[in-house]
Amino acid sequence: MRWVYLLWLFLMSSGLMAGEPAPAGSCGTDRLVFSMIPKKDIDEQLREYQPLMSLLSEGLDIPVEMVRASSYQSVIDSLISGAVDVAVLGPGAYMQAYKRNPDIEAFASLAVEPGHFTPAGSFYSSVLIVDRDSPVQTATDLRGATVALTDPASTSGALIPKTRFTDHIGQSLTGFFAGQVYAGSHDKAMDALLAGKVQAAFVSSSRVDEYVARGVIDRDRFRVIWRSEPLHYDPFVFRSGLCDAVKMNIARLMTRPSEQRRRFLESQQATEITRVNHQAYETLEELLD
Amino acid sequence: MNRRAEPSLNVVPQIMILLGIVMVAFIWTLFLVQSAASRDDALQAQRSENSNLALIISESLKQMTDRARAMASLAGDELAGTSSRSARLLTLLAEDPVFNRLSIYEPNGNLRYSSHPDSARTSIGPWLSDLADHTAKHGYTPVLPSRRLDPAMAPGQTAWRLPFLVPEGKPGNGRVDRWILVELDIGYLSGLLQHVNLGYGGFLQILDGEKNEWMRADTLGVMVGGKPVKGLFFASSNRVNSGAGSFELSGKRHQYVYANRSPNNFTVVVAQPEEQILAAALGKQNQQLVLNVLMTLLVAGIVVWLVRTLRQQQLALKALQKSERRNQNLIERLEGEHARTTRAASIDHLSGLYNRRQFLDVAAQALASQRRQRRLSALLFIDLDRFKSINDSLGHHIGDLLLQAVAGRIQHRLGDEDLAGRFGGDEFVVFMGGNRTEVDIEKWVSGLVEHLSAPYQLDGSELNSSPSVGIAISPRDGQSIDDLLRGADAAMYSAKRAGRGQYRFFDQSLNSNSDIEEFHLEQAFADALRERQFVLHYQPQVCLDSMEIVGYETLVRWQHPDYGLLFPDRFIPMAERSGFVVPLGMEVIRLACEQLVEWQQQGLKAHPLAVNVSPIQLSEPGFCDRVRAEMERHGLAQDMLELEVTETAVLDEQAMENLNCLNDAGIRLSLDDFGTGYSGLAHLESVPVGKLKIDRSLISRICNSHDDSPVVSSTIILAKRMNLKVVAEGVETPEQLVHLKVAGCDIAQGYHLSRPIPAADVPHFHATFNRLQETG
Repeated sequence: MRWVYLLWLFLMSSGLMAGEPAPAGSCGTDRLVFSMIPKKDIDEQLREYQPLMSLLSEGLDIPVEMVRASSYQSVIDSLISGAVDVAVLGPGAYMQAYKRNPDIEAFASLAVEPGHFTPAGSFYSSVLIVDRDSPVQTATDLRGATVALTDPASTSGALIPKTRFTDHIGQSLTGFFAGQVYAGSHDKAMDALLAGKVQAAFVSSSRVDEYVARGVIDRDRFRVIWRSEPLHYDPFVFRSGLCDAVKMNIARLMTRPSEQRRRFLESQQATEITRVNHQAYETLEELLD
Repeated sequence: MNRRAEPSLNVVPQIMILLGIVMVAFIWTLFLVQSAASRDDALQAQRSENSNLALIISESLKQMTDRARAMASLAGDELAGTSSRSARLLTLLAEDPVFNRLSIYEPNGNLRYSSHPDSARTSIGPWLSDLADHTAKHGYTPVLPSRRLDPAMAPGQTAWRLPFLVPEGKPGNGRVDRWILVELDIGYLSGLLQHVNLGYGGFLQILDGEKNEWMRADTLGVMVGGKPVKGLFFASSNRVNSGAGSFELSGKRHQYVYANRSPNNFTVVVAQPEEQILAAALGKQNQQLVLNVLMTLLVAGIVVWLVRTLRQQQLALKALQKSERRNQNLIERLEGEHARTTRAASIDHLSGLYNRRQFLDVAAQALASQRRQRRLSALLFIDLDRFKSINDSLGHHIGDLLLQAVAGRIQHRLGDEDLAGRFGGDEFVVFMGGNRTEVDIEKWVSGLVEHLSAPYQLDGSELNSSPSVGIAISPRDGQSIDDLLRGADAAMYSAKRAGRGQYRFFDQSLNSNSDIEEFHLEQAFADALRERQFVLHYQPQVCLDSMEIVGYETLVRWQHPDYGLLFPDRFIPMAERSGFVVPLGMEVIRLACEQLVEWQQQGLKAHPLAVNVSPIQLSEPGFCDRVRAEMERHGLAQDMLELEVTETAVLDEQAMENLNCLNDAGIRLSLDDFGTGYSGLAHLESVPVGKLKIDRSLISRICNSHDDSPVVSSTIILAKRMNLKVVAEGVETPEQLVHLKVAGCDIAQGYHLSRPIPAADVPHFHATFNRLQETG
């Protein structure tokens, strides 16, 4: 056991030391920095995005770097500070970033295949799920339970529960639940539910569908106790001040069919990358109050 | 043995139960001790594991602060103005998985630069004033500032970034030139923790110097809105230190370990509910509990079984003992019966004394024992005087009572080593053991005689009796009981001869008293003859045909002035020894003649008188002449005198001559004591006697044993054939009289007819007897 810790310590330290300051690039010239909010195991997530990265790298003819983010907030911070050129944010995270810098620009979003928990199209929901064997039938049955959240900046995993769900039950989460845990990602929240460490979890319906698609769970493994209004899918966001030519190129590459694009969409159980704008997420502004 | 064994048998089950209890107590004590030990072990093991974890995490955090310092050093003074360097820093921050924000503050706490100016803290004044002392103490080390004083976040809000303040300044001048705030993404930390085993319910806390919580996370992720933890205690130190303790949270006791880094102003706490730590041990404990319950039941079962088995065995044993006791009782009873039977066979039932057989047996042993101890022993032969007449006159019942009384008196005087027996009739024997001298023996016998002579109260009537006692002493008189018995018997006869209530030693030398008496008598004999102290008593002889008195036997008595009336057995032997028997014999004949003359003068009917003649007298030359002269001197008819001689007398030639002379002179002769000697009837043919007197011992047998009557009968028949008249003497019972009459006996004399009576009583007796016969 001790050696595991020591190894972990060693890896962590070496990782820290490896980070070298990169030269700051001029408008869309020498390289593109890409980041995304953590939704599952970050390495897996990076692997899934690899076709997209190679598409952009080849299409723009510049190297594309991927930044590993450990939290929603770090992605927001990176995008606001301009350290990241393009980022995938959640709807809520986008709005948080937008409030800090309105010059950022949401430009695309995924349209997904229909799933058991999510209808086809560009919308998903925040769902409160419990295990199928749980005696819980309604949301009020969960009073005093422990619930898993995702990340303080996650739309479906924190922002919607903190607002829409509290409206539903007429009480704050802290008062209603005995314990809340920020699992860090949707997958971790579902894993906690599967492991029986929590009695319920707030997650994105599309993430549940992906679990079903990947065969991790049966489609009836979870029961939905509460569902939010439809939410627009995670936006692809440009940082402020990114060169317009680059923006156009990126948007074009992502919307035009290609082999890499097809592989990427497949990995995301998505059907299409559609163009979006700020209006698609405006309705969520109230969540941030 | 049985009684002693019983208590121990009862104790054994108790010991078994006690052992069982001890065993069960031992099992449970062991269980409790082991449970406590395994609980302590589990807690200790988890403590050391968590302690390692806390130390590693704190070390990791410390390295992160070092990283923060390195990052801060990149942000030079010129940073604020140079956009290219700023962009480089921003990229660095974006790519750094740990830190994503960096701000620079003036020493007064005002913001100089921030990577994210839109959400940066504009002033950190409260933190800086709080940290002044800390910096002075620990120097320019990165520190975790106070959660309470965070200007950006209200207490209770979940922090998502962990701030580290890095002071910078020229080393040595002790002044902080600027403060760099580097913020660590908590998501990164919790992501790391998801692979760390904190155990179920376990969690990790990062606390500031005031023990306020910056972050709480478990394997699921960052925990929100948890109840504040109270009761933590950290040892204070200037260096890194760690320790452990426990606190209560949500009603559960938690064990916690901490790694405290005072220089960096933070503490890592790893806590876990004890019940979770102990869950594994508890499982084993429950298994052990079940096992213990089973073992307890087993022990109890075994003990119960053993006790029951033992109890059954005890019951069986008790039953056995009971039956054994019963058998023992039966055996004892049987032995008792046997002893009684044996005693009955060895005891004379009338007197309760030993019978002859047993006495001889016991006395022989006692004698042997006495001789081994070289002590004197004495054997007493006791015969009651006149018992026969008592028995005859008063009946057997009284006789038996007398015998019993005598036996009781004898027994009463016996010492421990003395024995007494009854040989039959009135014959008693006493064996005197113990350590006695001759004087002691004589004193004892004298006392016994006196005691037995005391009057008896038998069945309401008073009775006087006396014993004659013969004494033989061992070893002087014999070496065996038979010898002693013979001696004592002879001595007893001697005593009997001496009169009633007398005792005699077999050894004459011991008979001191009778010696003196005999001496005196011998001295007085001549005077007695001279002074005519001898008198005659007359016992009538009755003709059995006519039942008339046909004569009297004269019996001499000595009317002694000192000793009173003496019987012939007291002085005849002495007279024979001293030669006085010859003058005494003549004196008796003279007295008989005088009496005949007197009765003739009184006009009474003349009856012949029989006088006993001693053999010595008969063998005297001239005896016949002297008798004839005496007869003639009194002018008596020859047939008025009858001389009784004994068988021994007729063996002498001189005696025969005298007898023939007397017979020729017409004096009648009779043979006395016939049947006791050895002469046969054929021998009598030459003896000129006209009568045969059958000895009293033969007559007495008629009564005691009818078997002997043929002897008397045939004697009578033979005597008749020889033309002899037969006289029976000692007739004491009517049966004897009838028997003699039937057998053809001519004349009888004895107590049954009359005792010897003085001469003065004869006329009256004569008249009365004749009248009696006439009326009867």
